[in-house]
Amino acid sequence: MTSSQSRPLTREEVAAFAAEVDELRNRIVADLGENDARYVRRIRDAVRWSELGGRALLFAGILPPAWALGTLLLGLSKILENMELGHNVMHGQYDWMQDPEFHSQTYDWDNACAAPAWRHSHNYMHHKFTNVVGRDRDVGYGFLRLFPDQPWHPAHLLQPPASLLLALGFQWGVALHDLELERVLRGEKSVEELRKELKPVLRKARRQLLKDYAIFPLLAGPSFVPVMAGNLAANVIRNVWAFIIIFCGHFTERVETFPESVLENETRGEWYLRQMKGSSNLEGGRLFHILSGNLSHQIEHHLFPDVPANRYAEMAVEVKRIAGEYGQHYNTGSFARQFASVVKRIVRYALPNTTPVRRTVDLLVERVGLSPRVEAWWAWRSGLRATHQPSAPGRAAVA
Amino acid sequence: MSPHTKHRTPPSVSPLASVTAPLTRLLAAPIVRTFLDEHVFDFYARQLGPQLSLNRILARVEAIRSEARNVVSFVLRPNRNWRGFRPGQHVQLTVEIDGVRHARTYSPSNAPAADGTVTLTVKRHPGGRVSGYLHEHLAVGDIVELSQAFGDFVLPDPVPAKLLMIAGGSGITPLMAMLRDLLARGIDSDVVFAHYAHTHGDLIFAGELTDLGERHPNLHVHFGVTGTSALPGELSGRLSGPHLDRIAPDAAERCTLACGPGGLLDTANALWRERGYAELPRGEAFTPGVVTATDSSEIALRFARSFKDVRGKSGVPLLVQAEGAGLRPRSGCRMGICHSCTCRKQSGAVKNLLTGEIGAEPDEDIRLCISVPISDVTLDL
Repeated sequence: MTSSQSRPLTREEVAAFAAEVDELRNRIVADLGENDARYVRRIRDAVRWSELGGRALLFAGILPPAWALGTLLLGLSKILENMELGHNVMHGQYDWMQDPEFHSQTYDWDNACAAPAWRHSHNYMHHKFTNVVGRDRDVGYGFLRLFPDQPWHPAHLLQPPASLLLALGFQWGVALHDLELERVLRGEKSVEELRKELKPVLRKARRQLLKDYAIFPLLAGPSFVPVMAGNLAANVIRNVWAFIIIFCGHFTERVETFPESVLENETRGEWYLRQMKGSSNLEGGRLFHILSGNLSHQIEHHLFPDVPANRYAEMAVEVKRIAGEYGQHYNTGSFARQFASVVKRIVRYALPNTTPVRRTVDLLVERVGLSPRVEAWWAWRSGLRATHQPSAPGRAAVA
Repeated sequence: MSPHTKHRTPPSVSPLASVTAPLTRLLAAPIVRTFLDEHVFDFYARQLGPQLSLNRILARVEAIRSEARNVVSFVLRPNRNWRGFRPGQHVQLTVEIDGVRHARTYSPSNAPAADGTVTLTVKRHPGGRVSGYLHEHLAVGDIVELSQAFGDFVLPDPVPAKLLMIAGGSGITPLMAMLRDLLARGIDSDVVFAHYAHTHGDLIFAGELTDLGERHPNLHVHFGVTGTSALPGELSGRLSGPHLDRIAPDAAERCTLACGPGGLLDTANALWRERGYAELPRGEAFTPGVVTATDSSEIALRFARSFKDVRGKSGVPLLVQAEGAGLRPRSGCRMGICHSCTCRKQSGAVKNLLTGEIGAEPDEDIRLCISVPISDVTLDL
């Protein structure tokens, strides 16, 4: 197991690091204005026109090319809406515009997860307690084991296929996430409480189901079946894409997790450092960043969750520089490499930390070889394992 | 006929309106509302006409004219969501400046008209962001957003036989609307109209008032200047007992309506009390400028939705103070990142603890956990 790839900082250094990050944030926030408003409106325009185009093509879905194109367009629209518009608006990134159309308290997205539940489970629980095992429920979504410091259970053996199911129905996973079903199963939460929370979740779920699988198909008349199928496929496209991007943000190879003890008297600087070490970026072109909802700049998103995402790219340059100056690891890599390491985690931590069986799986993963790049990385990682020593509090990046 | 029904004639906007009217009714059905997001609807509607909206009142600037020094009137034509106004009421005007929407409250200065227009008369304040923007950038053909009219500073119904209207500066707008409305409706109450301003150049509607005074024997117009020497026949200085004796010796019998800066209203009230007049002036004051409190001073906190007034402390986050007052506002991270505690501040000035920025604008969304009051504050809580 290793370790933080970052140099330990003194109290003063942590404070100075925080001051630099704050300074960057204030500089960007002071500069927000018309261009940012125009950006979010252009994204909104793209969402609306692609949705209209997608649904219109699906109405002609008896023709296979129209169906395929319509499904793709609608999937794209849902991706843009959920990731670059909804997620970011619901973080309050555009609250400064004071426009009810882009306000975190009023926006509701095209997703099975109800907005208030999302603001609680994501904006609050996940963003405040990022990668603190036992507190951030996004670490494994309450049932996946992705880090060695999560306790192993035989049921985890099923997590590779379970992850695949989660990817296909990700919006439903997210919708149920805030209900904390695992705590109800463990008896830590009353059924009464669950029932109360279930109401808005069911209301939103019903709305989404009716919209995509009854109202639009019925409006399409003879194209009922193609429209329903297209809507289903578009939802799946969005689900899989969101799953991939989100898992790449926190479960890549060199991401760190933290024990609950770090939360005691954590300073703003320490919080910043934890956000940075607990997140990973993806490299790619402008379109890729937009389609990922700029979560490809996961580090910047976690440092500045309420700064407009269209600013992350320019902030990333600065954050990387500051991280370098303080000897802190800045976790970024190609999409292929980062995602391969996520898949590896899912497979690997299905098994307990060290068993003969796991060694076998290790060996198998190595032999099968996901790509030549992964092979190269594998060799490099083995070298890393030999030379690095663990250090607190960042733990367990690589097994 | 009640005067109100007459005011509520829905304005006709565009030829599209006749097509959209039944559609709008359909869209209002609860079942449709469940599945229809108003912003989504508005997006597509906007492609057909810039003023089409499900709920929002979008108004087109029809004309702009200068009224006095630094005072301009904007004639606005709202869409059919507008339900009309009663003279004396206010509307909130929202414009977007550099990506940020700003709202300000104005009283229409026109009489409610059959053509459905609303005239807002705006004085430019030194350093005023919105008034400056309106004066410099708003052009004929632009679209602005209005709220429905609100406020109960209106003419009594039935209209009293004798009225005294006292206007200070741009406080003339609601009174001008009332006066124009009276004349338009042919009501011949006896009206004494006193209009105070700093200098002659600041007297809004001076020409029109003089004109109306000459044409209507029951309307007695008086001008007063407070910052320069008065011309013969004018009132000199601020409202006073001698002024009242001169323009309305029968003030005790008149229904008095006053609108202007806080000082004018205080003076009027004191004068009426001193003289033992039974009925105090009905009045409306502009909000005085923001008084900045020091770090540990006591301020007044008002939680408007809970009807709660408490004594608060400047320098302490509003979330903590609201909880201390027994309220349980939504909250989350308590460090300014999750926006769970975002709340509308209706008035007052607050400081953002993260940025040190001061927010003094009315109707602004703030995060309670990182905002400390630096003046009296009213929250929508």
